[in-house]
Amino acid sequence: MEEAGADSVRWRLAYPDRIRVVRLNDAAIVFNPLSWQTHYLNEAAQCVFDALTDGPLTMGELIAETVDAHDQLSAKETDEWTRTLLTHLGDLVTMGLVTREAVVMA
Amino acid sequence: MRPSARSVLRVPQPPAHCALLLRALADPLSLRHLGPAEWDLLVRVARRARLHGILHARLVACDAIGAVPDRPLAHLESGAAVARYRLQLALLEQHHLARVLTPLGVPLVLLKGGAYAAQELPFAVGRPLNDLDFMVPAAQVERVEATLRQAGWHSDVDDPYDERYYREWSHEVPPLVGPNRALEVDLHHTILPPTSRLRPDAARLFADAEPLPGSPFRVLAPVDQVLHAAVHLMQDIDASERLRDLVDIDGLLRCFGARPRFAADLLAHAAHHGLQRPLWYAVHFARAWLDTPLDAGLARCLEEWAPREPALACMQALITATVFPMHPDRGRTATRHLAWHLLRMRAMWMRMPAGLLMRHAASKLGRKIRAQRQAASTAG
Amino acid sequence: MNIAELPVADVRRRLLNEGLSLDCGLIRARVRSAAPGLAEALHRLYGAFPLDGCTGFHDVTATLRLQRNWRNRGSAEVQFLLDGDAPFEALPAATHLPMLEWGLNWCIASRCHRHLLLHAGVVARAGLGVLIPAVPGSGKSTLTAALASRGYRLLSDEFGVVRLRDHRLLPLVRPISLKNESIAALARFAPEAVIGPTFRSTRKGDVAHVAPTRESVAARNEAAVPALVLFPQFSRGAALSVEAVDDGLAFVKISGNSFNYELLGERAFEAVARLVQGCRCYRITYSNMEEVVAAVGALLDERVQPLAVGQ
Repeated sequence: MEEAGADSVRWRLAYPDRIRVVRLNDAAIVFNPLSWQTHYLNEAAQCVFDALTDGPLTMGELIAETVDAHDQLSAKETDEWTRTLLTHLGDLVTMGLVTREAVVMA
Repeated sequence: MRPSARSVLRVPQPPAHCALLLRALADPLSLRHLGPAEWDLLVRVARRARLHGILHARLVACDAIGAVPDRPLAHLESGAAVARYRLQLALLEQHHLARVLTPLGVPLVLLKGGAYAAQELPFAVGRPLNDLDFMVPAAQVERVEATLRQAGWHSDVDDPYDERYYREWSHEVPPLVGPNRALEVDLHHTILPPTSRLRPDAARLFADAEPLPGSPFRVLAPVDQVLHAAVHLMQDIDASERLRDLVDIDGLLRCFGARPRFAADLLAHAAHHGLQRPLWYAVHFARAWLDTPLDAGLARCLEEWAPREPALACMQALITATVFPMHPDRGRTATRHLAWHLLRMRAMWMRMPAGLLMRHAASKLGRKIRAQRQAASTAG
Repeated sequence: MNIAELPVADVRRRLLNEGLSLDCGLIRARVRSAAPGLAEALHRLYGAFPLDGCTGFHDVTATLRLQRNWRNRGSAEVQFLLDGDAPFEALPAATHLPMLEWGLNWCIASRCHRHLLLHAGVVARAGLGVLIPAVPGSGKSTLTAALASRGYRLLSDEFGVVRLRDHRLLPLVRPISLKNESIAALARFAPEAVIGPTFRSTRKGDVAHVAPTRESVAARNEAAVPALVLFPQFSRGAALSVEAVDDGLAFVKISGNSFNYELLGERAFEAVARLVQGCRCYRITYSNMEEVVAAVGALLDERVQPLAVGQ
């Protein structure tokens, strides 16, 4: 398992141009253009998915995207949120909607 | 004048109910003026041969799909949808295989339908894929299979007899199903079972294989794809979809036939791999029934490999009796049944040494009897 | 002229020779059989269907072949043959009509991939469609039959057919298949309904079929705009309850109820999304047919009003 807060890993949507999303009330239903599987995303998973639509993010960037800047998170809260994000990212990777890539250091 | 007119003339006529399908495949525009009863028979025969998706694609390609009446069109579209779905499963399976196998650095060569789709050969649009065939060098088969099993692929062959059949007698790996269960994977190390009397040079097949842009997979050289399809037509035990094999041969010859050096390479490779006879038959039937165009020089050279009588007459009768789907209103006729069994026996004989064949037949028979007894005891 | 106007003997003769043509809208079937009793059953249940020749294009050509099973004391059986193939085990000869209907279902589910096929009943009122997707045993057919015998047009009892081009519901008009207690319940609820013979102890219990009305058959080529989706649950003695179903859940339930959702890929995704967005979806639990029919009428009225205001 990689270091949770490490920024050596980046997450990106697998098929940003071809993925299909339809929003129905609180849910998002997503169609994977390779597997042809349909996935149901709850609000938290959507939050992660949406954060990635503008481009790949490291965990640090993902936290910044998903937490309001005014909410000063304690170290413990940041830790918990990181774990939650990792769970959802893991699910999205299993669905083939998100891929994980190593960041090449400049 | 066609150089091989003599032998073409001797080819038996296809059954009347298939004439329409053959004409449709060779000349889709000829379908513009069919009546409802003709469409009825054509759709039924094409579906039996699992060629209705291909028919759809060919009508689209020549801009004649608009002339198809709505009801028959629904069936062609249905065939096309199934083929498109199976293609997607194949792409998905390739994606997963590539992920797991690329790190091994082993050459991976796609075969048959999967290869035609990966090359985007127009003739294979609408062709439904049953499974994904690919081959790796014989020395790597065990490693590749172990890697796949480690990554979650497993074989659905639960009958120990079948498992032994695959491993000992065919020297093939039983079909594997991946964790995503997309498409069954058939792992080969040559284009014929090693027990066959024909021994193509597998090392040369790998050496001549060509890369696919943007993919870790390769495909056989075009002429080797023709040879593989020819071998499949003549040797495949599962004779139920043979007309499709012939359509593959026709499509490959039309696709690749005009390439420079195609004729010379085809002859040289056939001779090198010892596949002159299957090639001769394949070309012979494709020209006779699907009007496959062939370079005159190539046709003349092929004539030297023509089989002699009475072998030729026997094979022609057998192939004619088995290659075509039966009439949808009639059951399997006695002649067809017998011919099919003879051909099956021949294919088996070509694939296996005689001793193995006896054991195989006896064992299959034993299992059939056991299954029947079981069915009878539960039916009451 | 329709099939009912033909003497039963002529129906039997057609079944024995060129075949009887059944035009159900989406599919047209050609049926041949020598099974005793089948001509009478078809005459009654397909009576309102047009009497067509068998020479034109047919989507299905099926034969119910009469045969003997020597492993079972030579008992008479029927085998469903489709273009010469037998996809199922034979059944006792007396089960001819259920065998034919199941066989036709199988053909449709396996070869009509031009459209999205849902396992659902469909009825319509004034061009607005009510889709009733359900798992077996949930009272889908009973609800469909109840609505169809109270002025709703029957589109289908078994297949919700969604045309991919415009996401409308297409009719596939055939007799409604009822099981066990619901047979007598429907006869009490709608004494004028034409119900065929009861086939006892089939693999699905007792089975009887309700003939579609003349109006439903006449409209067998008219699509309907989907307006309501009802997930029914028959529960003996239960009070009527109608609860709105969240759109996301409705998407999951509808796509999970399809025969070919996965096969059609993105086109099916699109169709279900449009269906959910264009319909109101409810879970409806019922035991009393009068109550449920009134409730569905009210739900449809609510749908009509905003549409009328919007115009």
